[in-house]
Amino acid sequence: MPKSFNFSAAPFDGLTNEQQQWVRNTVDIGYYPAGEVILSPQDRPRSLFVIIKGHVQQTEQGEVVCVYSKDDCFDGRSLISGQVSGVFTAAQELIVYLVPKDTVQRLIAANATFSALLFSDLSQKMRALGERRSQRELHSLMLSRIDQAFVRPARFVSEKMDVFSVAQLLEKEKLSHVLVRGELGLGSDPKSGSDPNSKRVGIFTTTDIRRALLADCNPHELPVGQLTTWTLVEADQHASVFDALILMIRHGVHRVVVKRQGKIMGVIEQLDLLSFISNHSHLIWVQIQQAQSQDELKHACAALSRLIGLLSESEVKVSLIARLVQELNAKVYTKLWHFIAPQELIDNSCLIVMGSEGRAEQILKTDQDNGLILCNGYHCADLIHITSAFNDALYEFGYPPCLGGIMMRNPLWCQSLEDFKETVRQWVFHPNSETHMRLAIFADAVSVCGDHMLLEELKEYFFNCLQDTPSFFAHFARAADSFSEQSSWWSRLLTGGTGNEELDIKKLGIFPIVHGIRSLALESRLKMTGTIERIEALVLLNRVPEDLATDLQESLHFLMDVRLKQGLRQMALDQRPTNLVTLSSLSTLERDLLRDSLQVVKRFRGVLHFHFKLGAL
Amino acid sequence: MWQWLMAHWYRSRLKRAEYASLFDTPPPNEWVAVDCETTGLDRQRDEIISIGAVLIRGNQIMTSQRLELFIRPTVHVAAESIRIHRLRSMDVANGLEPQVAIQQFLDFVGNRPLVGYYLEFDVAMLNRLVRPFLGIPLPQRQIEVSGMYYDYKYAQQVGSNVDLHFHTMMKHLNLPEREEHDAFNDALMAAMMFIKLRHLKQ
Repeated sequence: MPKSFNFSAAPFDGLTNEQQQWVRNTVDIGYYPAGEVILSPQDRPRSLFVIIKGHVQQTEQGEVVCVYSKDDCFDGRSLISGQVSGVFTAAQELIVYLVPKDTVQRLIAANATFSALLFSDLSQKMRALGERRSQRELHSLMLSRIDQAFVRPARFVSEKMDVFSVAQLLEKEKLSHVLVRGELGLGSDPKSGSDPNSKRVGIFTTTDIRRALLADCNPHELPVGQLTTWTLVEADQHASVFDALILMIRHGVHRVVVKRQGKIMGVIEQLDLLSFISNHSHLIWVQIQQAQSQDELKHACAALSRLIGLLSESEVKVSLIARLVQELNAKVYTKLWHFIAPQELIDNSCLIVMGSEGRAEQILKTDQDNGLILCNGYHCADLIHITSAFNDALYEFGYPPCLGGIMMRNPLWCQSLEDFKETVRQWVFHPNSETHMRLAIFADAVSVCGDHMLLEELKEYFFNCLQDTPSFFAHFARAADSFSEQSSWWSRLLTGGTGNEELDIKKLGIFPIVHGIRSLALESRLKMTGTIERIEALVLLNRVPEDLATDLQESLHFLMDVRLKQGLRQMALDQRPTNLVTLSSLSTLERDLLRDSLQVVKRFRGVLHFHFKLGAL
Repeated sequence: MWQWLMAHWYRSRLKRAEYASLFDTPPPNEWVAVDCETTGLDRQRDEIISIGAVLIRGNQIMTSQRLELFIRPTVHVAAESIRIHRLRSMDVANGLEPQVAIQQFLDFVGNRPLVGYYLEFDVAMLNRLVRPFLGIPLPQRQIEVSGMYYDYKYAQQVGSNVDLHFHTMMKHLNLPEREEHDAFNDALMAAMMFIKLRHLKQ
């Protein structure tokens, strides 16, 4: 059996053949009947336990903190420190490998990945995981820096050059664009002319030649400067390829100027990016942008789901996927709103998305949380039909209706600014669990199209209301704790031991993090909606300790990643994505990380308890 | 009484004084699980080609202190046996001299009780090598796991037929079974059954 030691489970999966031999030569096998204590604080552990069969429970002060099952190992930390934290008990009859301390120490000294995985903080563990992924497969291209992709060297011409010569140059050098340098004093743009000495730079592309033709001037005399686009979309060379892509989508351009230490080093083209990333995010954007009917828009939406699957498979970071999806979803919403609503309504209202969509954390279409703020005094006769049509169309596109009714066709979420203010005020001053839920969703609102100032003003009012009711936050934050009393998931992890048990990863992990951070952010009047951005801001304000912040971010991303993968699997089976994760579908390391993530959540809840004095409620 | 008499008799017949410790009281809570692979099933003519043994200490199987010996056979290995233990003639051609092997085996086991599945066969085979060397057969106490299993099952349901196949026992005891059946793995699985059955008896 030492011959069949499982070297494909963490942390042993990074060992060389020689190091594997060390383990094989020294490993023993232990047997513990159910209920027997394996390690307790009085013990000085002499070996690392790797489970062959059975489950082990780690309890601290009578509370289960961890459960270990097949291929898991424990307890690396106490083996080295000599201090056992908690009691390890065989929850089921147990057969384990015993890897002696000497061997473990030898492995730690010889293999960095092994020691990182054995006893590392969560974020370190994640990093080690990342390292191994990059060993196995090509590091995800999306994360490469722009300058690792194909950046075309900058080709400059003077703005006085005539269009004909420029076209010749483009043809000769097989370019699709040139950068145009403005001449000193000549036609300097009064708007950007803060520093008259700096020469302005613009871009002239093949598309502009069409405009030159239409201008119907003599191309030999027409200076290129007149047709140049003088506002450049820029990115630093160290930005990720993904950032460049986001910029292109946001600004609707095909080229981004790449700068090195503030100086232009070249241009990256969309086509090059696309061939670099080899996915279709841009194509989807084009589809959305060019859609002439709702049907065409629907096609684009279907493509979006496929794209998410592709990105997830190629191990693109879940935060990046979420951002891309948010940008694209916003485009869909805008386009659809323009199809359905009359221009007058669009101008006199603000379309908002809320909840996970507003936080840019919804990746798969789980529900639609949207609303409409109208200008005071504006009346639209057909409003209810328009809003219903909008919600129905989204449903048809694959965005399931919100079970909580948070959709603009619900009059509660479609009000004039004044009425909305009153509603929000009522929610704040007459709190109950339902209004708390509504406020939580509203707190994450971002505007998608229309008059953005309407949402600004409403949020400002909301923050002022909160300012007047300091007692609000503690009650509000308590929701983060509401699922903790659920029968502990550890025990469900145990029952049957078949691994077919399901965990509600949203209730147990994602929601407590998101809501806890949201409560802290609201208290500090932070305007941003993304959980990660909020955490970063809270660290700057010293509201969250830095190490906890790092762990929270990593945990949230990990949990989102697990949920996404699970959701994709369910969608492949034509099921509606849920938040339930089957344990058996996770690898050992993933289970390990899940456990660590939930530990982080627990630690965070402790912080919330202390901060909001939840115990006193 | 009988055991004492036998021990006394054997002790007087022992050819080598350095093995007198075989008759001392064994260390508490220690056993050795053992299994042999042979050229065939004939106790008179077939020979041992591989010995696997592992020390059991309390609830631990000391796989780090294991014995895996290959012995060069003097007869042809039957094709049927090769299929079971997967040791071809060429695999054991570089094996030890039988006498060297049995010396190493005795040093490893000492006076600890032997544990095995159908141990009788293995001990009979081993004794063919031990007798010429020591002048006596293996004197250690012998514990048969299928016997323990039978007692355990029979106590649960008196009068029942107990299936004593190796595979069935492993399955019923809910122990992880290994694919490859070499001497060492079989000894190891016997050791696991032994530890588990000891607990079930309590």
